[in-house]
Amino acid sequence: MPQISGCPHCAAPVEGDEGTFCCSGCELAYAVLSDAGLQGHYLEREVPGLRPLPPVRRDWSLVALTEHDGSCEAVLAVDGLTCASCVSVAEALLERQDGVQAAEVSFATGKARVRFDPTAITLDDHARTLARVGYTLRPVAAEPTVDHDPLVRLGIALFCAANVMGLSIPIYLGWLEGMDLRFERLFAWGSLLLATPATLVAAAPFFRSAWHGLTARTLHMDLPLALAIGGLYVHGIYATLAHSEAYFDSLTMLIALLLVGRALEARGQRNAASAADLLGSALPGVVTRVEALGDAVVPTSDLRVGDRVRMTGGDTVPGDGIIDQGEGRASLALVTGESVPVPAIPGTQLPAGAELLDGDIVLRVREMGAGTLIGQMQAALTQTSTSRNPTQADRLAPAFTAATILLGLAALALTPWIGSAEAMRRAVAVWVVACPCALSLARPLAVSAALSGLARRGLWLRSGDALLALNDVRTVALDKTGTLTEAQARVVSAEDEALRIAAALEVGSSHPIARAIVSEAVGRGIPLPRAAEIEEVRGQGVRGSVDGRLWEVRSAGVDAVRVVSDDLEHLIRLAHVPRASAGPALQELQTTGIDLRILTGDRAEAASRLAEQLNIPASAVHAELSPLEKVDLVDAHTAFVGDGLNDGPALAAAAVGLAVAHGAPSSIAAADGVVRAGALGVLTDALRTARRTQRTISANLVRSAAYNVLAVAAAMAGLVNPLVAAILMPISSLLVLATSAKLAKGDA
Amino acid sequence: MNAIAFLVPLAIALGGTFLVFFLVAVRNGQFDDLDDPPTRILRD
Repeated sequence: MPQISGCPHCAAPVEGDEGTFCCSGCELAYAVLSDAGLQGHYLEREVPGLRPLPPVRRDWSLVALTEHDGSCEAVLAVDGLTCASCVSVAEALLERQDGVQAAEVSFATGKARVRFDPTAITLDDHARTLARVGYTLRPVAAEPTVDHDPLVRLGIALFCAANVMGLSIPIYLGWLEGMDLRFERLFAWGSLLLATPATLVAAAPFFRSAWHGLTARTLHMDLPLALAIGGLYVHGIYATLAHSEAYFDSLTMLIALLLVGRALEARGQRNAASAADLLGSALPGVVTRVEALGDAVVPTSDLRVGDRVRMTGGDTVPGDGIIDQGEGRASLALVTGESVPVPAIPGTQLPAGAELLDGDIVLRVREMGAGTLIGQMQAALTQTSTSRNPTQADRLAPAFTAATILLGLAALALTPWIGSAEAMRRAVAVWVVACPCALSLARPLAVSAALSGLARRGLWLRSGDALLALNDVRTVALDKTGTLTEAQARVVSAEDEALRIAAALEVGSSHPIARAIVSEAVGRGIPLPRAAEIEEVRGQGVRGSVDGRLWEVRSAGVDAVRVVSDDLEHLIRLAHVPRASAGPALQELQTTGIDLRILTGDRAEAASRLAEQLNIPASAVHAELSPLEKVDLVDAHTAFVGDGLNDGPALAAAAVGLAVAHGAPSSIAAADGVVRAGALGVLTDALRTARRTQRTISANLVRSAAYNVLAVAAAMAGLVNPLVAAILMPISSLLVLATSAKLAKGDA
Repeated sequence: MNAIAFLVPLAIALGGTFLVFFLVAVRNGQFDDLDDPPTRILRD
């Protein structure tokens, strides 16, 4: 009976004394960490390390390098960080390299910021350094530089508003009790001084977008706001000179609250964008081109129709093409959703985005870029996503403001009867009491509270529109593979002995099936023997010796693997298992009366088996669909949840498209939101939250409207004095705040 | 009462100084990432 211990790096059980490694990758990782004096990591970490895999070639030319005298800085995504200790290990390893000045790794965003000397070390070197211990470095799209202007404007607006308020209170009190004229003048001019930066700097975006709208001959929703702000400011200057009420407190508070609302909405959008940003890109950055003088690694963008590309297991097809030589198996899961690998033999056509699972082939490219299947999907996707209409809520607040402005003008029109000074005073009173603070806050506050509540439970929505659009949803359609099921196949039946041998042979492979086998073996606690003489058998599997006997792992049919030696044979079956959250999530959705559908490109048989497991009527299942057929099955009352590249058009066409986190990047680009893979239950929650948000917004609009109608009527009749206006205005805003804050809480 | 003529502008100028501090902090990127720094303390 051999002794059993845990691999010091990845903690998988292995046969042998304490300190025996499961594979040479882990042994090297351990050595690297020990050499660097980082053994402490093994004591601190909460989760065992990942088994190192061979580094994947990347196109680093996409990475934006910021230069600072002689050194440059790059931001890269790091995969495989499982705990805080990993962060310090990755940081230390990066920093220890020659030519690196500083490295900072963020656990929250999964990104590394490295400052290095580009003549001494390359990005590829960084990737190799981290790959040796199990972390993967990959390029991310250039980080958008943070725009500081909104925060600067908000700061100025709040400062001015607070101080104008401070100056206004004595004016109002003095108005009741009489005040020394000198101080009244001082406070009035002080208010004008403070209102000027608020209007000209902080409120500049409103003027700018209103102007752009006018030059484009459309009525932008900022136009009434710009009119109100501009009108109040001009009136204020006139009133200060003429010693009457300037209402600068209302003006500055209006600007500040509008900017607060915008900042809240922008923050929610940024969170959704960064949740979607961590996922890398769909096509390979570089390819191996077969040329007259031998193979050359070139960027995919240099590839032309007619070029021949050499590919090995794990590579992604760069353009639609046909196989010239070689054989293997390819997965079209990302492109068509078909989960079963197809044989790749000479004459087979492969679309861009397909992944060669194993084997070696030479592919002749027949179509690149926009002409490829993916390119057409991309086109269909941009077309559908631009044809969206703004929601009703977007139009309401400015319409209200426009009405207010018209009423103010109507008050001015009373001049012949009440005199110009009184008419002006009434018009401004109308504008002030009806100032759309509450209205402008009603939507952003309610929406951002609801969005942050949902984000905590696993659903990031890109905008408030997406949330409110959920109210029109009658049907929820879900993709099968990767959405309802896990993205990778799992072992469903196998003997321990078969797993032991197969896992020992496959432990160093990045093939999804190999990883499924190894993780099942580790999950069952099977000690892995050390395999020797491992070699890959082209297009078929792996061969090597275990316990002194020669074994071969071969693929067998659609979802099975055979483990063969001379006269012994074992079978390992794999399948896409439903996610744990899928069953309860669908049950819950059905109880809300929502119509459920499963749309998949997979075979009918696999789809109906899943429907059975999840307790969904077979009539709800639509199988063997092409990406464009999926689009036909979603409409303006459908929410679609999907993860694959092939789901992009359907995600864009649906009323609300939700991509599964860790799905294909293009599906995330097309979606209105991202749902955490394990959190499908949040869907019911989202529908309910959308309903409550809409109710809160409507109630607040009605409340503000009622308040405004009364106040405006009083103001037009000349009954409202500045003090009353200044007290009434914040009350309606506070009411909105109080009712909206409740939305952030869950169902409690 | 004349003190007010002096104190009010002084108070606003003081507030303005803090506004300038805030704007400098924004420009230096102090508010760029509000989510990560809280987790950094867990690291050493």
